[in-house]
Order: sequence, then structure tokens, then C-alpha cells
Amino acid sequence: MRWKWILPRFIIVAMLVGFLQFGVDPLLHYAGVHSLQAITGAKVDINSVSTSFFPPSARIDGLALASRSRPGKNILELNQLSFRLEPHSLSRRRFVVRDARMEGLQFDTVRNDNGQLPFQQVPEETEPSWLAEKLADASRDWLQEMESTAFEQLDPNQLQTWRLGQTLYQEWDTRFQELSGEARGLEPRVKNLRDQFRRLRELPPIEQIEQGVRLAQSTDQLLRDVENLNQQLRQVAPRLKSDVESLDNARKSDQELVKNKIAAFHPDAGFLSRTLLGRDLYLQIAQLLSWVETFSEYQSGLEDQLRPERGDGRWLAVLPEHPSPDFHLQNLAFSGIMSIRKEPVAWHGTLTDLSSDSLLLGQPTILQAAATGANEIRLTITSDPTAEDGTTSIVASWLDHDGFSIAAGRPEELQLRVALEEPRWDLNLQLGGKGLKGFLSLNTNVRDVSVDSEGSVRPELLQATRTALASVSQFRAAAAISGELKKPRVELSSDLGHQLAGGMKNAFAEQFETAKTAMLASIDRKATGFLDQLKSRCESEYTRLSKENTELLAQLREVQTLTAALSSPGGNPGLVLKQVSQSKLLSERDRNRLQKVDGTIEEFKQKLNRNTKGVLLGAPLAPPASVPRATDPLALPGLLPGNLPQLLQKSGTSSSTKKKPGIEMLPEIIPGLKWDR
Amino acid sequence: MFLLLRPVRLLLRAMVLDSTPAQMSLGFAAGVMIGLVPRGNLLAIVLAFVLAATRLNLGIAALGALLAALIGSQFDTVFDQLGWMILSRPELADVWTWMYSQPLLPWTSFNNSVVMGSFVTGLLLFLPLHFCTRPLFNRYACTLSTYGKRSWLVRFITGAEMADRLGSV
Repeated sequence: MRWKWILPRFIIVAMLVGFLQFGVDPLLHYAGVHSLQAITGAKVDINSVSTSFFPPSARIDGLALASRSRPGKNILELNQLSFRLEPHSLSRRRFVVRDARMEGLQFDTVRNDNGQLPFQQVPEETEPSWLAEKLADASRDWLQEMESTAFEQLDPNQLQTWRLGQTLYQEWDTRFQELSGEARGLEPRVKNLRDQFRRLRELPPIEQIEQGVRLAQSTDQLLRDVENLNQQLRQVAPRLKSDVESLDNARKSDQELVKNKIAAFHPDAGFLSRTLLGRDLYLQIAQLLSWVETFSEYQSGLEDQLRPERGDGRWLAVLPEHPSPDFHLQNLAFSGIMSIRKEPVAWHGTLTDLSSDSLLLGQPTILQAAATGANEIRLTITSDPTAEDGTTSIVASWLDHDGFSIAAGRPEELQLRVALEEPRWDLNLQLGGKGLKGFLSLNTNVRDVSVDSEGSVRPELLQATRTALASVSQFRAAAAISGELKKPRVELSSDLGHQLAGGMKNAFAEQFETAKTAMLASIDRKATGFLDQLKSRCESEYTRLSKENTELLAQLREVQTLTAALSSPGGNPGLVLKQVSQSKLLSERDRNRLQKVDGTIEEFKQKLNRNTKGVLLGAPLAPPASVPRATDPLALPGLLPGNLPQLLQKSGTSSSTKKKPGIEMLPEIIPGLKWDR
Repeated sequence: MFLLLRPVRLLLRAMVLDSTPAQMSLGFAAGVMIGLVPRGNLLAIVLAFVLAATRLNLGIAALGALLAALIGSQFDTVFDQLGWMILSRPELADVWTWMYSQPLLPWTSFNNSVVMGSFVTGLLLFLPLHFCTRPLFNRYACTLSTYGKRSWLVRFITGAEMADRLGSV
């Protein structure tokens, strides 16, 4: 009975001990690999994990974290990581590491495989949007840009004279086209009126009267339209005068503007700094921020890993008798090799007081690292939640004994290359939450400056650039960083830009003076040209339109007079004939004939007056108002009322014959007169 | 072979066979209590050790723990409220402080509302479950024992042991 109880329990205990002895390390290895893979999103290799409980310690050999974004590369790799836990704290669920060592720490090493997890899409490595913007700005051709900026100020299209001159010319052109259109619209109407007037004689007498009245109305309407056009033409002159004055004022204003603008020209020093130094500085900042961002992502991934499967619940903040953080790495010493410009550089450092609750610990976490050799690097990262702003500060300096070169511009056009001697980079960055603030500065001597051009750059520009750069022996540049980690604002400033700008200004001064003179002359010439063009155009158009209008008006008045006379039943035929013959409504030949007729009528009248005074033609003639138009159907315009039947009977023509009314009856009335159609 | 099979047979008997209905019902209640407590803390391990140290039916206890673990996560909100109600009582503050300062006790995660709530729930359910399930085990203990003895695993192990003994004679 006793063995039945003891033996199973003994077996269970033995299995547990066996698990702790042989199963914990593989389990930790498995858990470690999968947890880190979940954090990094790429393969994690651990050669071995060994733990011991007495004393509690662990050692990890051959750890390599692959990069998710760069296949075939490791984010970091280390040969050995060993640490010992403090047992007293461990029994109280606090992980206190007194001393830890990390050896053979390297970054960005090459892997044998691509390091990607199966069935996982490799994210495309894209540069941040802010960096793309900045690099695009920095890649603009600096000299061309400066030249264009300078001469943009001399661009004629920017001047008021150009714009106003073109606008006025277009406006007046449109205006004259409208007036011409209106005048052209009147011509057919006048022509139509004349045609109607010609056809009037072919109509029967009564219709002649009706048509005459209608013609008179149309003539009145047309006359009003022509007078309206005439009125518009009269308004042209004052407006034109006003516009010409405006154009002249614009010319004076522009000339003054050009003088002031060119006097105030100064090359944009900020732009010069950005194009010359921007690329290197922006890339440094982008790399730095990407490290910070990656670290933040890994930190959040680690927190996700530590979250339990079951509901998290709430933790009562129990203050033990000796409160301290749950995790506290007191000291970690690390050493390794880093690659700077593809050259291995030995480095070492310490990490102190890394804890899960720095506030409780009351100590800031400090990472210090240094590298010596051709590149001297000092890095200090301090995370101090006890500070007022609760920020992490990164302070770093890098002295490059070998130096390097920066280049601006494209080699096919014009490239500026500056060899830097012992450049020193200094970084000071404060991170608080998602916000950041700080600067990255570069302080360097200039060893050599070369300006090369393979393209067709103007020699004077090349010489000006060389002259400007010859005096630059050292410079400082600083990039102020602010904003958020994902979207930082980077403002670059440098005295290099100012030095260059000053040199360039002097070098360009002579050219600008020439350009200024040419520009002023050009403005004067252009304004005069605009004025002449405008005046000439307006004058010719105005003259033409006025002439046409006057002619139209004259014709219309004539038509109006004739139609008024024709439509009058008591009209004097002689007067009508005279008006018709003198008008331009009939052809020359018809007018001659009518003048002859008129002469014959006059002669005939005189004879009649002498021989049969008052028989045929009552003297004086009855006033038109006393003649009843409705009772005398033969009362045609131009003929005497009441006498036409007698005249017709005398000549042997029946009164009912109405084949040749009006003027066409004259040959029958007057002997010797031939009416030739 | 005998030495290898005997412990297994004894373990099997201890787990499934030769248990009284009371041991079965108590084992079930203890299993439920263990199953309700979230894993990953010392409390669950200690409870498991205590259970293993008793003569309760381990097989039934494992069944109870499995069932409780399956449904326990659905009641985390309830456990959280209950646990927080206990933890936040001012008169118990000194108790928690003292407990938290002792070795090993912080590993039980007693200051977590879900752990505390589920543990207290398990304790409260212990006796009711025992009394409720005992009549069932009274009725079906023989059936379960017979079913266990007839299972192919038990028959294989006991038969192999007998044959081994006969062979050694």
C-alpha cells in the first residue's frame, strides 16, 4: 500500500526533475527563438542555451538576428551573452542581473541564407517620405538653380509692362472686332433696304405706299442702330487715352522695380547649404532615426510577447518592504566589431541600470560606447524618466580621421566636390514620447575643392564658382531636428552656404549690372512698342469704322428722306425726281435719265403754266392733308392727285391700265422721253 | 522489463483504478480548482504538487482541470472583478505587503486580480463540487473501474507484466 502511493509520486517528481535538468534548456531555446522571431519578423539563430539554477545563470552562444527588410543580412550578431541572476531577488520575483557580458557584438553582418521566415512577405525598404522630399531638394542642380533664381528676377514676364501691354492689346483687339462685327452686321441691312427701295417701283401703287411706309420704319430702326454704333465709336478715344496712360505708368514702375530688385539680389545661402551638404546629413539622420524606430518596434514586440494568453487582469501595486523594479540589469559590458565605411572598427561599451521601472529605481539608464582607431566614436544614450520632460537623450560624436568628400551637382553639367579633412559629427537628440528635438552638426576643415564641368557651362559662371570657393577653408553645418519620429522636420543651416553665396554675389555682380541695363532698355523698348502698336491699331480701326459709319449714316438718311417723300401722297414729282436722281440709290445711268426727266418735267410745267394756267395743275397745289387718300386709288407718290386719270385719257390710255405706274409712266406722259429698263 | 512496466502500471492504477468515490469527487473538485487558475505562476504548480501528494484520483483531477481550463478563460472578467474586490480591500493591504516581501510568494502572482479571483472561485467551488459529484461517482465508480480495466492500454500493461513474470519463472 505504501509503495503504491510512494512510487507514482516519486515517478512524477523524477519526471519533473528530469524536465528541469534536461528539458528547460531546449524549451528556452525554442521559446527564445520563436519569441525573437515574432519580434523581429525574421529568422533568429541561437546555437545553444544553457542554464543553471544554482546559482541562477544563463548563457547564450551564437545569437544572430536576421533583418526582415534586408535579406541576407543580420541586424546584430553576437558570440556570447552570459549573465547571472541575483538569487535573493529572484525568489521575490525580481530579475536582478549584477554582471552581464556580451562578446563579439557586430551589426549588419552577412548571413549564409536570406534570413527570411517562410511564407512571409519581405517588406520593401522604402525611404521615409520626409527623406525623399529632402533628397529631391538636395539633388537639384545647385548652380543652375542659383542662376535661374537670379535671372528669374529679370524675367520680362514678371513685369507689369509686359502683362498690361499684352492684356490691353488683346482687349482692344477684341473690342474692335466687336465693333467691326456690328458694322458688318449693318451693311447687309442697308443693302437690303436699298434693294427694297429699287424694287418699290415695280410694285402696284398701293403696295408702293405700304412698302414705302415699312421702308421708312426699317430705315428709322437702322438709323438708330448706326447712331448707336457711332456713339460707341465716340467712346473709344477717352478709354484709349486712359489705357495708354496706364501703360506708361507701368513702364515707369517696372523700371524702378528692376533697379531695386537687382540691387537687392542675394543668392539663397540656405539652398546652397542644402544642396551641398543636405544629402549626407539627411542620410545620417534617417539612419539614426531608423535605428530608434526599429528599437521602438522591437520594444513593443517584446511587450506583446510578455502579455499572457489569458485575460491580463489588474495587478495590485503592492509595495514590498524593499521596493525595486521587477527587472534590473545593473551592468552589462559588451564589446565587438562594427563596420564603418566597410572597415572593421573595434568597439566596446557598457550599459548600466537598465530596468523595467526607472522611476522606481531612481536611476537613469545609461549606454556608453566608444570606438577608437581611424574613426573615433563616442556614444552616450541616457534614458531618464525621472527628468521633468522624461526624455531619452542621445549624444554622440564621431571624428573621422580619414575624412571624406561631398559632392553637389551632376557630373554631366557641373559638379562641385569638396574634400573634408577630419570632419567631426556631433549629435544631440532628445526623445520624448513620439516627439524629438535636437541637432546633428558637422564641423570640418576643407582640404580641397574642385569644380568640374563636362557640359556647356558658361565659363564666367565656372570661374565665378571657383573664385567663390577658393576662400572657403572650413565650415560648420547643422541640421535641426524636430517633430515626430515618423515625420521629423529637418532644417539645415551652414555657414558654407553663406560663404558661397557671398562669393557668388560678387562674382555675379558684373553680369547682373549688364543684365540690368539690358533689362531697363528692354522695358522701355517693349512699352514703346506696345504703345505704338496699340495706337496704330486703334487709329486705323477707328478711322475705318468712322468712315464706314458715316457712309452708312448718309445713305440711310437719304433713304429715309426718299421714303418719306415717296410715302407722301401730296409730294412734288419734280422734287422726288430730283432727290432720287441725286441719291446714290440708283445707278448712274438711271440717275442721268431721271435728271433728264426732271428737266423735261420742269420744261413741261413751265409750258403748262404759261398756256393753261390752272387747268391741269391747280395752282397752288392742294396740300397733302386735303387729299383723301382712300377715295383716290391712283394717288401715287410723286403724281398729282386727281389729275392722273385725265393725263392717262389724254394720252389714250385707259384709266384701268395700271401696267406702268409711277415713274415708269413718265415716257407716256412726256413726249420724247424714252424709258429704258 | 518488469522493472520498467511496474511503475507504469502502478501509476495507472493510482490514476484510474483503485479509487473510492470520495477520492474521485475530491480529485475532480481539486482538478477544477487547478484548471481555473491561470498557468505560468507558482500557485498552479503548488496546487498540482499538493494534489499529487494526496491520494486523490489524479485521472479524474486531470479531467476536471482540463474542463475548467477550457471554460475558465470565458470567465476572466468575473474573476477579475472578484479578485480585485478582494485585493483592493484596505484591511488586507498589510497582508499583501507582507506576502509580497516573502520569498517565492510573489511567484504565485497573487496580486493579480484574475489569479486571485480564479483561485478564490476554485476554493469556493471545491466543496460544492465534491458533494455534487460524489453521488455520481458512487453510482458509476464500478463502471469506470471496469471500463478502465478493460481498456486496451491497461490490459496490455497488466498482461505484459504477467507474461514477464511467467517468463522469468
